Amino acid sequence: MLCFENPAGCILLHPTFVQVIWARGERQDEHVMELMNQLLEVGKQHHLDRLLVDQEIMQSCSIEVEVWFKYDWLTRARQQFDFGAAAILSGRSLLVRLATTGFLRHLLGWTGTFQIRVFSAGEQQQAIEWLSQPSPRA
Amino acid sequence: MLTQKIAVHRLNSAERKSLSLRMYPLQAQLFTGVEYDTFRQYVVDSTAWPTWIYLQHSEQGELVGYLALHTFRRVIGGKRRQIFRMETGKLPSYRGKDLVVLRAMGRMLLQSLSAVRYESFFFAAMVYPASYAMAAKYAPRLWPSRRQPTPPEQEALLFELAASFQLKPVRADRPLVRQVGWITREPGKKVAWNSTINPHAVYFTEANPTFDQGHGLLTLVPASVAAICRAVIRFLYGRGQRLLRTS
Repeated sequence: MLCFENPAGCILLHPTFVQVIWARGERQDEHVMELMNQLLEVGKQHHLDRLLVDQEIMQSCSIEVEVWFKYDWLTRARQQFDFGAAAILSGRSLLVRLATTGFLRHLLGWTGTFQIRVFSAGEQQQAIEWLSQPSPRA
Repeated sequence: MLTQKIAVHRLNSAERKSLSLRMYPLQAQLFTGVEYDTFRQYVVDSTAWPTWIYLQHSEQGELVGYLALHTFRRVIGGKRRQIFRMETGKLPSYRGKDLVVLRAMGRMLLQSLSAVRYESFFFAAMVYPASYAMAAKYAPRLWPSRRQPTPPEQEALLFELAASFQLKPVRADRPLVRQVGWITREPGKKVAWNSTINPHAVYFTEANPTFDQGHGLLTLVPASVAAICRAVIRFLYGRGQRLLRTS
């Protein structure tokens, strides 16, 4: 179910998780931030603590959005979804996936309760299956 | 005094709630004007990454003080900035007897070393003369200062940071004084600051005469690796001199 849309993309509500789909083309910082903030709101409203995030945002965003995402949004997301899980669709390269995992673990902690797993860009189905488990483990 | 270090950014909601409940009775003893929810949001549920809290206990195990150190990374004025913010308080009989601020400075040093692409600053809206005086005494540079006027670039950054942290002005003719809400409880008679003994504290009371109404003076301190190292040396030298005087 579509529950939010702006020029940066849209948020889809699934039975067990929330998904962000980015729009093609240029995206403005304020729209990206609005969409990501809305993602937290949707999760809170529907008591969903599982996210499917396409890391494409990190490949094309401005420095402002990159810093805001890493050090503000992610902190708020972890505070809100502290027993949740996130599946990140990253690049196809193993090195890119390892770097993404390392950076997220550094920010979220290795011993935290929030589970996070990085998938290759073509593994959306596997990511959804992992998110749909009763207790996903990274 | 025993100090316990807590990595708040690693705690889950239940653990953060428990920590807030443990700290708030002390907070209420030290400050007025801060409700529990505000305190929790500001100190424990801060959106900083990371947040470290140092809890100080007496020999009997009573919580007698705390220091919270938050690190924010933001793009301000088009540049990557790392901003340290701090809240601290201690029961009067335990003040000046420990080195917890040194541990916080060590943590700031590590954070500055790990953020080479960021320009680091310590930023505060100081609500008590002694806090400002301590920063002015040990920091190599600080704005505003009684020693020299604030350069336009640093003044602009002070205003940008105040906007970024949503610190609203109190009066148009005092743009550096902002609404904070924290009012330090002073036991007994109100302290009369002496310009010979503590000129920095007197400067603070002149720049922010309404601090006892929960108003804070915007204060900026460079926190590069070199600046922190110099502050640590000055702090240790100052404490060493005090020890020699009292022994």
